[in-house]
Amino acid sequence: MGKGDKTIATDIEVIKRIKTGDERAFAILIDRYKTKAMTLAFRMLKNTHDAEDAIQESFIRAFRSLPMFEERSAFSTWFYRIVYNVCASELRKTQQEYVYLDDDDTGNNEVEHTDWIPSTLHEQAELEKITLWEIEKLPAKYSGILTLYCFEELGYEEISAVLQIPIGTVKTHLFRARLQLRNAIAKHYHITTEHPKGVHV
Amino acid sequence: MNHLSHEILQQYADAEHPALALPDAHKHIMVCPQCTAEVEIYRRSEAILQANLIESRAEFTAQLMSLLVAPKPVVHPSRERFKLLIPAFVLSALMLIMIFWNQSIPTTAYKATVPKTIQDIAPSVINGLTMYTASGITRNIALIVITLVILFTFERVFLQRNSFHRK
Repeated sequence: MGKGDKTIATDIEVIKRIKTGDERAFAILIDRYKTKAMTLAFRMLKNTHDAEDAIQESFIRAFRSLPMFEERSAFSTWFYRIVYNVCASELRKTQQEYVYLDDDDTGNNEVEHTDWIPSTLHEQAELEKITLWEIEKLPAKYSGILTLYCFEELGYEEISAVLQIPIGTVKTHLFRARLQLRNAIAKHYHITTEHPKGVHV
Repeated sequence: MNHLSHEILQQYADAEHPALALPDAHKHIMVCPQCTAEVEIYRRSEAILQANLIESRAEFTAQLMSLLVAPKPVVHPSRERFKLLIPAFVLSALMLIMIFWNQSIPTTAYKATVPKTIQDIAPSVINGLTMYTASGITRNIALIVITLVILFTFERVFLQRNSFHRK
């Protein structure tokens, strides 16, 4: 099978091939999702080695459970759920900080409106460095949901399916996660504030 | 000056057409550099996260596939030969039983055990067998030779066929 086939074949077509005995076609799905899976795992586990172990475990689980995959959701959603669960379980196992997102978890909602001005952000390279540094420092619950949010193919509904929480809760958690990242970046710039809170206009 | 809430700022950053989706917020942002910067930070930081994906090792797929789809086991020829030993032993055991059984009965009795139809059809064969049974040593040697010929043929035919299939 040529490279062209890999780009043309949809996930469902590839899965059908695997189910009819062409197990080697699973390599197409691995190539298609390994980078995003690695990104999600790394941002949750904060460690390349653990992240690679986690995605390997996730792919093995997905391969073994593929006969039970009923195509009710997209393969990507189903697979990211496996990756997320493997990472969450790994965090619990290693007794690292991992608290499942719930409504009582208020996070750091104290928001301060900064005095920074657009010129502060002119240095794209610096902002990139800071953002990537700060996302690694965010708790897994925030970096995980934020990473999923940045995957193009995932909307609120899909993230809700991955995390198995209601859409409303996804929106709340995502708001907190984005705010945490923004606050972390703001701190890095040592920006002081005079405005305690943003006010609806 | 009041600023936009972060909820509004995030919605504004996400909107495909913010001016249409959030006109009031848009008016404010047009005149407020701080809120413009806030929107920018949301947009740019998320674009950075989107663009900076983490690659796994180049050989990851190949290694994982070798774990998932194990190659069909190649049976070593010596193991196949070993497999053939079982029927060979069984065959040899049967031959030995026959030898001792034949030795324990007189020639005439042995002749009587042969079905009459065979005696009628091939009397010369029966006569030959009778002749061999007259001498225990000759008969045993003959049976051993026959066993070896059978095993040799068995090995030639089956091993060669299997090795052809492996290719």
